[in-house]
Amino acid sequence: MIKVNNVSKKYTLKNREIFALKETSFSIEDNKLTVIYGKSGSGKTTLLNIMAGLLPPSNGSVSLDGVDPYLLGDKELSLFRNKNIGYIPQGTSSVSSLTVLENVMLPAIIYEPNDIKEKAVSLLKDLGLENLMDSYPAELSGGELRRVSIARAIINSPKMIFADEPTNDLDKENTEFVLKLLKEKSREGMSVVIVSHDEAAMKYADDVIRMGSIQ
Amino acid sequence: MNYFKKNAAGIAELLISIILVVGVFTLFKACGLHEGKAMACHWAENTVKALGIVFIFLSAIRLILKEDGVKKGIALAFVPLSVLTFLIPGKIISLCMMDTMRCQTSFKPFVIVLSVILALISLADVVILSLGKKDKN
Amino acid sequence: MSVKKLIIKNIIKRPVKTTLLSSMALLMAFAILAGANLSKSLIRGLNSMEARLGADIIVIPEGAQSEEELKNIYFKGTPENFYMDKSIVSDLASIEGVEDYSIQYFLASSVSDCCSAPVQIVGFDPENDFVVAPWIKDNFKGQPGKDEIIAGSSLSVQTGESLKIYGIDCLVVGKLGSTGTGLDTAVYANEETIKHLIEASKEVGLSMVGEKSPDETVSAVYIKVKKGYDISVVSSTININFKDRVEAVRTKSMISDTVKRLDDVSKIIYALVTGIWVFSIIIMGLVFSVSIGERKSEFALLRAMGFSKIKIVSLIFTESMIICLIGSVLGIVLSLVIIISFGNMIEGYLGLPFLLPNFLNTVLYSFFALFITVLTGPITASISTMGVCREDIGNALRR
Repeated sequence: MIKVNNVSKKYTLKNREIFALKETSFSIEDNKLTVIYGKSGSGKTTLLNIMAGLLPPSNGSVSLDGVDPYLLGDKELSLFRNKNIGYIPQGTSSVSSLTVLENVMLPAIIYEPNDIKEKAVSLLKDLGLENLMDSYPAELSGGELRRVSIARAIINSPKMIFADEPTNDLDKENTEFVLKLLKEKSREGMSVVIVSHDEAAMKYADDVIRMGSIQ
Repeated sequence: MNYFKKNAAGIAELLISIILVVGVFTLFKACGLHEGKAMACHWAENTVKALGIVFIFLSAIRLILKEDGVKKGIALAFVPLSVLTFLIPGKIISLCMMDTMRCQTSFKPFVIVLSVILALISLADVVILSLGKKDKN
Repeated sequence: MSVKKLIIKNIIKRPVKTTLLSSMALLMAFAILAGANLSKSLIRGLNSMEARLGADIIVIPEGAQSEEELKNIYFKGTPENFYMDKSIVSDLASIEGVEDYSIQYFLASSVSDCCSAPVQIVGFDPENDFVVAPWIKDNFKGQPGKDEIIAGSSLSVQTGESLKIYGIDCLVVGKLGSTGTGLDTAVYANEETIKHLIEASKEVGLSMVGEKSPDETVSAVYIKVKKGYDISVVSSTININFKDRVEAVRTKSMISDTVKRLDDVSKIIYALVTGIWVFSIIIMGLVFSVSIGERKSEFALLRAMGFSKIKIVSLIFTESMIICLIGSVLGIVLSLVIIISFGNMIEGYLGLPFLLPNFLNTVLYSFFALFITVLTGPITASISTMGVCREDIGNALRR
């Protein structure tokens, strides 16, 4: 269960207060795919990042399965994120010095040595990337890199997946592929939260949170 | 492997060879003629000059030709040649008696330092070329 | 896959930055070790020179040239010969304040002889000498006999070989350790041998001894002054009493010039080393700063995955430590090879006594250079990283 209580985020720029996110409260149940939908600038990414434990709110609190991540110290929060959260960032970030396979295995070996190679290879096969396992991120297309991000986010079988515009810059085929996969994961027991302004995402959503209506 | 990776060591070999030859011809000569006679170190200097010219020729060939096998062969050849160059001053061809003479203070250490650097670079070259081959396969 | 592998791949996959940073570390380690070796060698050389002079006063033939020639023997290793009447010895012994005296003979071999350049031959009395003999005893057991010589360390001749001097075959019966002074190119013989050689030089018309026989001449008298007596007073007394015959030189004044020059050279060395260090640290700091700034979003990604701030700082610390280690080791090896190989050249160029530190000290200085360099890089890198990690992950990812 993900709970968001009176959360807001503001920045102070040259003595002016800018609200990146106005006060918000809601809950998300387990095993659902929830889409946070809204125009650019509505604060969707800010909300997602606050929920994923990546951005402390200015006000309010977040509860992820009963844990408020912002009450944890950096070490504990990092461990919590590693075990419980899979985050798919916007864009095509990867660790440039590692191969695709090594990128996917990375989250699993941070805290202890792990014989995760088989699982990683199987994941990459499911994502259609088995021929690119030994390639470096610089050699991949946008769609391929997005799929690498997804594989990396789910290698640890986290309880929650947070995805920021996962279908951005993807063609129709890739878009359907990614959304279908995330839906499957929610059926398998992971809570999936997607930020999107793409109408296609709505088809797969169990719940939709419209940013405009909250403001 | 891109050109630079494959040939960085080769370029270094060429540069060191040029420095060796130019140095022995100019700042790092052995002793001059003594009362019109050439002393033993004079022949050591000539030998190193000749070897240096061979080094320049070989390293140029190594850069020009494209076949990896040839490049590797030349890099391998550099190793014993560098060792030979290292041994010329004082061991294979004797130098002047006193440690304060130019062949001992200037010529010998210069040749020693450069031949050691050349040997190390060639070894690295052989290793890089061998690894590169593995990557391709 | 492991965190170790991530570190190694980060190093290998950024060859330009790695090479640049390594080169700065190389420069730093090289400069520290070279500076330490050079300064220490100069100090050791000076101390060695003082020890080899061995006496308070050296009495030489009168004339401005003689003092110059004496300095040449010690500082430049240029062979000289000068002589004075032996009768002066008993006169000197009777001067108040003279505790003990040692006589020496200097002879230069001819060029066409054994070697490619003239060699200094020093004759002494192994029984009574206190200047050369104690030092020779350190390195050679026994005493040189007739036509036997002991060779200085800078002569490429081994025990058992012969040197022909003025047509006489002299057997090398021992070799001496390095002193870092001009004496390293000299050979030492007993009185019998040196007189034999001086006679031989007369026969080929190359002697400076003139018509006199070697039994009637000496080159220098080394004097030890009694405790409680002022050395300058004794030396002035000699100069006044025997004005037209000899000159007394205080050994302290012989080296005072050297001490001043050594000071000047040391200051230059320190300035150079400091300059190189500051330059390298600035470049290193800039490269780290830029390279870490560029990796901001990569760090944010790692943190989103579960790397804590401390883990990332430690990752960068280790990465930069490995890079600096490679550079430092190369810098140390290069420094040692160059200073040791070119030691003679440096000595000749500086014109100062120069004696390389012993093995233990060299190892200590090397570790010191390694330690300082290997820490500087990682500390610089870690500071940059901590700055970068301060930003919220969410915001950093959006860049």
